[in-house]
Amino acid sequence: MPSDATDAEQQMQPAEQQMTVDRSGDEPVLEVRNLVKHFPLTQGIVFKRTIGQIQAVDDVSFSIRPGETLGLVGESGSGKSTVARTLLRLHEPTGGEAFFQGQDLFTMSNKDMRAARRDIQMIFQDPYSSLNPRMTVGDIIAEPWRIHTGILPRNEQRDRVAELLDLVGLNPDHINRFPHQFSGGQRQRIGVARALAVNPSVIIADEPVSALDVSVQAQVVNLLEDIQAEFGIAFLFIAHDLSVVRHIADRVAVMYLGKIIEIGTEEQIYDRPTHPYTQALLSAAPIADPRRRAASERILLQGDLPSPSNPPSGCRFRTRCWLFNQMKEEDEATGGNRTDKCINEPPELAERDYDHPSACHYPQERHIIETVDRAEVTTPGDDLP
Amino acid sequence: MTTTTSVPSKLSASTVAGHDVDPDAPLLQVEDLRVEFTMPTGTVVANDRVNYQLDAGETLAILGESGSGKSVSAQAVMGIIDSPPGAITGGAVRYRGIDLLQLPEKDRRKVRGDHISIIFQDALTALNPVYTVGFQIAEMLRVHRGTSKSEARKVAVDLMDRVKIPSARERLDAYPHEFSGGMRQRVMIAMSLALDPAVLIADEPTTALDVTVQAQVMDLLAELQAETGMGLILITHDLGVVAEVADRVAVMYAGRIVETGEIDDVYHTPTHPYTIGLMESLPQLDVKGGRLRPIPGSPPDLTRRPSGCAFHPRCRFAQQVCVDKDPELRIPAASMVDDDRLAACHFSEEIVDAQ
Amino acid sequence: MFRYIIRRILQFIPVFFGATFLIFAMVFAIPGDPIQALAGDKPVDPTTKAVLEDRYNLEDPLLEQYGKYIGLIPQDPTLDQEIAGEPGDGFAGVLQGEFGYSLNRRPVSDIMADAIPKTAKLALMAFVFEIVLGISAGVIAGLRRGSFADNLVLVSTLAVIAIPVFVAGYAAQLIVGVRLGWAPVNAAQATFGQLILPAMVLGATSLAYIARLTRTSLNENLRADYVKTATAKGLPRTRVIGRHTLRNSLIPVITYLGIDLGALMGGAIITEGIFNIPGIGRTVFEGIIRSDGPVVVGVTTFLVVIFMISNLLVDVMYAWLDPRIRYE
Repeated sequence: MPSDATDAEQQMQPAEQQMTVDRSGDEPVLEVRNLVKHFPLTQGIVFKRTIGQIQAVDDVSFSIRPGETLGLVGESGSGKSTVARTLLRLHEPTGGEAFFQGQDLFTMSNKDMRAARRDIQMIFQDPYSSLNPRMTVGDIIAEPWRIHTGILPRNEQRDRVAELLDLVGLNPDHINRFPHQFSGGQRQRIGVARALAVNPSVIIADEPVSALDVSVQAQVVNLLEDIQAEFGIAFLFIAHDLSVVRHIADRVAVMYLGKIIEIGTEEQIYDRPTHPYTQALLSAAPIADPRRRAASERILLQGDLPSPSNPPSGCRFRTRCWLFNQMKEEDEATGGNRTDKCINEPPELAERDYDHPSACHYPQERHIIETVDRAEVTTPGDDLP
Repeated sequence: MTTTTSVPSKLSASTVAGHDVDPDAPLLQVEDLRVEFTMPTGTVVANDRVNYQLDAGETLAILGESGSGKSVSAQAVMGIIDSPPGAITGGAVRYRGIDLLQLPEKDRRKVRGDHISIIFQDALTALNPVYTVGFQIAEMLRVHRGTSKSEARKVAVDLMDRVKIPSARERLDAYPHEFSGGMRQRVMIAMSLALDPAVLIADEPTTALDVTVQAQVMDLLAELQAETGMGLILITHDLGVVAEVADRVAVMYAGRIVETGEIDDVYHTPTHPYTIGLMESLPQLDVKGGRLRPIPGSPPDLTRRPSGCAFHPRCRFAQQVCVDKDPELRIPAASMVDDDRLAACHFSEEIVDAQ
Repeated sequence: MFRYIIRRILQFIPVFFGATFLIFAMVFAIPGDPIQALAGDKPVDPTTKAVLEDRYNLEDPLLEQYGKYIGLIPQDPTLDQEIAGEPGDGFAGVLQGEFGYSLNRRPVSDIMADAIPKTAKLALMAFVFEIVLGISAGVIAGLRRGSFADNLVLVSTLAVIAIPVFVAGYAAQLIVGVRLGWAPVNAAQATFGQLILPAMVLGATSLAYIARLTRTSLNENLRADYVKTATAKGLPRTRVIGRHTLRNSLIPVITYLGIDLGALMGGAIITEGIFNIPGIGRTVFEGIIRSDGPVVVGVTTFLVVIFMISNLLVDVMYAWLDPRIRYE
């Protein structure tokens, strides 16, 4: 893939995004450094004693610039949702720092944290359980103004709710309805409207579209793209669906067993992955075109995710790593010992030979997906009215 | 996987539960199936005029979103619809020519699990939490075949080996909650294959699984299918999974099949606006940039099914005729690319011509 | 499983001491002078009073009294023994099997030995009655939801729950015992025949709860995915219900039964009163009226132990029925 693909991609972005958001060389709006979250594992008949730690998140660092979308992908148990919850201090972090507009979220006073929670909003996977069933949509959206007083005078709130409903594609006349009167996709729109009510600069979206049907999912994806373009909001977009993340994210971080194992631009991760896990993940994801199936051979991982309370030594992925197995086999023939490093030494997330960081001692670029531009894909309905 | 040479052992028998088979009939044929649910708010037609056919060694995908009736049709074939409130009110389910809906319950039961098996989406809730997996697998042989306890356990170990559960013998006496999601689904598959069924229905078998595990399970299913030559009905909402494994696809919407045909043709020359809409709204792994084109609105509440074609409120091609008249599932005329295609749209020809 | 039981037993220790101390403290706090109550309206001789107060440790601080009672602190020699030059009793408390003496100098253990078998017999009969009928009714109703049988169970259990025991007890005594003459009115000897009617009265309310609980639980489980799987496996209906539904459905019922076993033992006061059964319910009742602390505390301590044992049984049954909770 030629390196000017990035430029081409940027031209593809909706023009209005570049008009409203100045992306040139700006400071990150959110910067996470060495985030650690361990949950204690206890056992005992009378007195509980800690016998281990579930290393849900271990030394995770990333940053997001204003108006940018960072996709955080990983399978269940990778710790991606724990990252989100710890950032909002729904869990207390075990270690690390998270700078939001220059201030560390983790050492902030409760008062400052309340203010920060206004600027960092969250959208959840299950729109139904995150909306109070006994409140009307109007009250749900206006609730942040009752918590963070002084944003909007009471007499203007109703009009603003109607505006927000309109903005997210809901009928403003439905302001007095209850969540159960809406469909799943509409409820997720309510969640988006509630998040927008306080003009946040960051939205953390934890699997926001995975509970939705395909036809509705696309509506919400488009909505998220639209509000980002309009308000320059930075997104931390957490999902397990690689296709959705590719579509919406500017940069992507791949997590495995509590660690980020590869991070880069959307193009670097999808077209030029260097970590064997990223490659396996991409290869396992089905491609929705029968003609493109079996285009490349599939990398099948063996077994399941190891327990995060007792991760493998050295590289956490090595127990399932295809490259590890391959090198071991070759080494047995040649008498090499390349895999010793994988067993003994945890690989740093760093740039080695390639243009983006990857936590593998032996990264190698491998082409998994034959990428096409959407502009070049003729979907059947294109020529239709 | 159509080119398999193996034939399910079940197909050599000339009777099924004491009823003579029709040797010329397809493996499984569903005809004009209608399933209704009686709800406090009214009657819901969950399946209406559902037709499809499955041959040995073939994989048929039934693709649909939530509420499309895809799972109901599978449960109707199995004869496990919750009744009440559900009831099959019309049509036929022919297994090798025998209409299962006409069989007395005692014979119907013998077909279940033995000839036609099913695996469900969430193996954690689909397996009984209070019995060991060994007991649950062996139960199939004990009940259907009268196999002795020790023999059934041996077969259970073999089955667990076959679905690649590591150290099967030791794990025989473990409970479902002691397995990981992927391993549990393998237990479910082992159980469903215990009696070497001719038809396996997989109802969202990988939806609850991670993508790498999903790939393992789909791979296993394909491998087992090639080994046994069974027919596989894959029920899913995932267009990607369908594209990877299916030979043919039936797209369901609001309780009806709206389009069916060879997988390649349906994906590349869809003749129903809903199929087109699904393709356009799907973010794809190998496609970058651009903007998705969603289908407006949401799938209908079946208690308030729209008049005429149920898709018309969301359809950009809709005309007055779509509001008035429900289109029949038919072979679109003249310009069609293949002859195995059926679509339920008034304007299939125009849509194809425009492409 | 073994670890699990050990843990449960260890948890009983604080519960035992906590509960018995609370009972002891509350009985101690019952207003009134027990020595005076014993004498009725007559004035009490101060020497007698002192001897009695010393014998029952009434002058000691509360904690010390409790310690002596439970058997963690040795007993002082009583005035009688001091006068006679005999040594003290040493440790002689509940833990040693000594429940002390009632105010009229009868060993509380004797009183309990008289009363417990009668109540135990009554409670056991009620227990069997409510299990057999309650679960059967619940299963029938649960399997045929909305049928006549279901509605009958729902309405009749509601009626039983709504009628207080003292009404049901007297009504049963009057109709079945007096009018129809089918059962003895008085159950003073607590023979099997005499206890049938009281046991039915005692178990009726729980029976109703059990029936409803079984029905709801069965109903819920019938909709469970694994029941659908069992049907899809081609199992006969009897096996789907018997093997795959009932066992799971009985888990909440077992929990209720465990709590109920203790309640039956301790809660028979009214039933024992109506049918004149000299069981522990009546003993406690009379003990409270007479401010007879040792009797009240002795019997309630026994009931605490019964509650704890039945809870342990529930936990073990629970773990046996549901393997998911064996490992924590």
